[in-house]
This record gives sequence, C-alpha cells and structure tokens, in this order.
Amino acid sequence: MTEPLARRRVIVHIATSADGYIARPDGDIEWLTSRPAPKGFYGMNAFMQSIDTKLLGRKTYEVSLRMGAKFDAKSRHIVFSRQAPPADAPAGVEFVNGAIGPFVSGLREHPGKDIWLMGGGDLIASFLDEQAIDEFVISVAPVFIGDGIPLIARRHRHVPLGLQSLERFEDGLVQLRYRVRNHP
Amino acid sequence: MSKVVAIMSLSLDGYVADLNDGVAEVFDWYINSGEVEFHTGGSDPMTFKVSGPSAEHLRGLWSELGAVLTGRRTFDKAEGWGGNHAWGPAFVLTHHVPDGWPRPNSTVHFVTDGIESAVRQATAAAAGKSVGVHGANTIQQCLKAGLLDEIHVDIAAVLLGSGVRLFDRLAGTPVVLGNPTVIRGVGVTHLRYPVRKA
Repeated sequence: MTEPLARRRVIVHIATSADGYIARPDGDIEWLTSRPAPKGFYGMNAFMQSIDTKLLGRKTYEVSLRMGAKFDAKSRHIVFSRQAPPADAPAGVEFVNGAIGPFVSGLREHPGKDIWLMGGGDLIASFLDEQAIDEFVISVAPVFIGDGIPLIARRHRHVPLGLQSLERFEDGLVQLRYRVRNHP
Repeated sequence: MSKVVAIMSLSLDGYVADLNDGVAEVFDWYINSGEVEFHTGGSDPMTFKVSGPSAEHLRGLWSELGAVLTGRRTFDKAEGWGGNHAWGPAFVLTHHVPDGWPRPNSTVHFVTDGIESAVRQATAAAAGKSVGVHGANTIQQCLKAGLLDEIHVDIAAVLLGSGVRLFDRLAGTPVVLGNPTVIRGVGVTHLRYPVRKA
C-alpha cells in the first residue's frame, strides 16, 4: 500500500512466454494457466492488495468473461471500448469510450491505490502512446509458444526501462519489475 | 561437456532486432552498461563495457564456448567477423557459399547440407567445449531438430514495439523450458534456460 497522497501508479502486471507473447494468436493462454502455480501465486495476492482499479480492453474483458472471471465489487473495473457497452454487463463494470490521457489524469486526481492495466496488447500500446504507464511487472514463464499476440500491439517505438527488481520462483517463472524511463 | 547453447538478446516485448535488422537497442548493454571492460578477441576485436555481474556472466559463458554456429543473415551482418570469430571456428548454415569464401587464414566454414550436419561439424570443432548458436532462424532449426541443450535469453530493458521476433510460427509448441539461472546486470537480465528434451 502506497502512502495516501502518493501519486497513483498505472502498472501493467502480465505474464508472457519466454519468447515475448501474452497469448497464442487466438487468445489461448492454456500454456500459462496449466502451470501449477507455487504458493503465493507469484506475489499476485499481495499485488491485488495494492490496487483498487483495473483497466482492460474490450477483447481482454470478453476473454476474461468466457474464462469465468468474476468482476466483484472489491475493485473498480473499467473497460475501454469503442463499441457500445453490452446490455448484460455485470454490475460494477464501467465502459468508457473516451481519450485515455484525460481519463487517466482524472483517475489520478482522486486519492486511491495503484491502478492495474490488465491488457491486452492494444490497450497497453494506446497507454504507452499517452505516456500513461508507470511500471511493467512482467512474469516470464519458462516456455516458448512460438507465435502469438505480442505484449504491445506492433508499432515502432523505443521505450527505455529501468529494472527495479527481479525475482525467480521455484517453478522457473521469472518476474521483472521495470519503471518506464523519462516519465515525470 | 559439449553442449549446444543458443544465445540471444531480446527486448522485453520479444524482438531480437528492429525492422531494419538493426540490433543497436537490444545489444546496447554490451557496449554501454557499466565500467568493466571485456575484450572479445577474434579478427574483429571489440571491447565491451558492461556491469560487474554481466562481465562475470560473459567470462563464464565465453570460457565454455569452443565454436559458433549461425545462419547466413548473422554472417552477413557481422561481415564474416573478419574471418575469425572470437569463440573459435564458425559454421555458417547457408544454401550457397558466398563469393570470396572460404578464405585463407579464416576459421569460418560453410555448411550447405542441413542443421544436423552443421551441429555435428561445429561440435567436433569445439573439441569438448560448447557450441554457441546465434540467429533466430538457426536457433529455431536447432530447437525443432531437438539439438539444443540450453538457451540464453538476455532481456534488454527496452520496449521496441516492432521488429524481428525471436520466434515467429515456431512449430511443436509449447516448448517447456527448465528452471533458469538468473543474473541481474544493468539494463539487461541474463536468463539461462535448460531445454527439456522430449
């Protein structure tokens, strides 16, 4: 938990394969979910305590729904989508269709915990374009999947990062925490 | 023991080079990540400047290597390493031997009859040491043929967003790797994974 008046950070916390994909081309992440996670679930439970808002793209939202995700009221869920919101959205899930920069600035004006940018690659790319990401926590699973959806939707860029911490878990997963450089 | 070891530098989002085959961003740590000098040797000697942990990692790794195996693209990009690669004899997997090669006083060899032959020749030339494999395509062929023992992934602290991926459409996935050793440098994290043989 950060100090009450600390700037709320926007954090991408996501797993990739060792060849840098977040999912197979069709969105499948069985290569990741089939791994028996060690106790503590790679620090995920502690991370969940440090955030109170989750941001996700429309495709990621729909995949999560299909996988049985429950969008409970413990945190605020915000889905970025250019389409109209679905009629049957669970209570507590907000849909926004506006510019990312001003929206995130608005979020940061209110005190709160950190903000989890869940993905996918398109939304992460749009946030990078707006310089709206503070940190990346990347969990590299020890597996190659050979093809798939990259961490960031493809577009040329050069974003220098600073490694903040590094942890290897007993099953070979390596978690890297980076701060985005040149960021106020 | 002689092993076949793939060695690649990647951006955090999985690119080995930019769209113009440029590797400056992912190799930046070799030349500009610390104060420890590391001399490569070979016909085109270079001096790397890296952090203490990266220097120790490189010294350990390079002392294990006795030969190198690459594809034609890497050979062209490196302009044939001046005729002698720092790791020892070099074996270049190619369909056609380039004009003007092989050269006298050069330890660069060309293999035109496939990956198994290339690995066999490089392993023999390494004389008990390991074979370092460079180049996304060659690594992919080694992996597919079950000839790879280890893969070193040096993750550079940069996002590139586009470029050449380590693997595009690798068959036979998921390729499950073992537990890596991890060394934290400056601007780079060295991961050394054992490949689990089927």
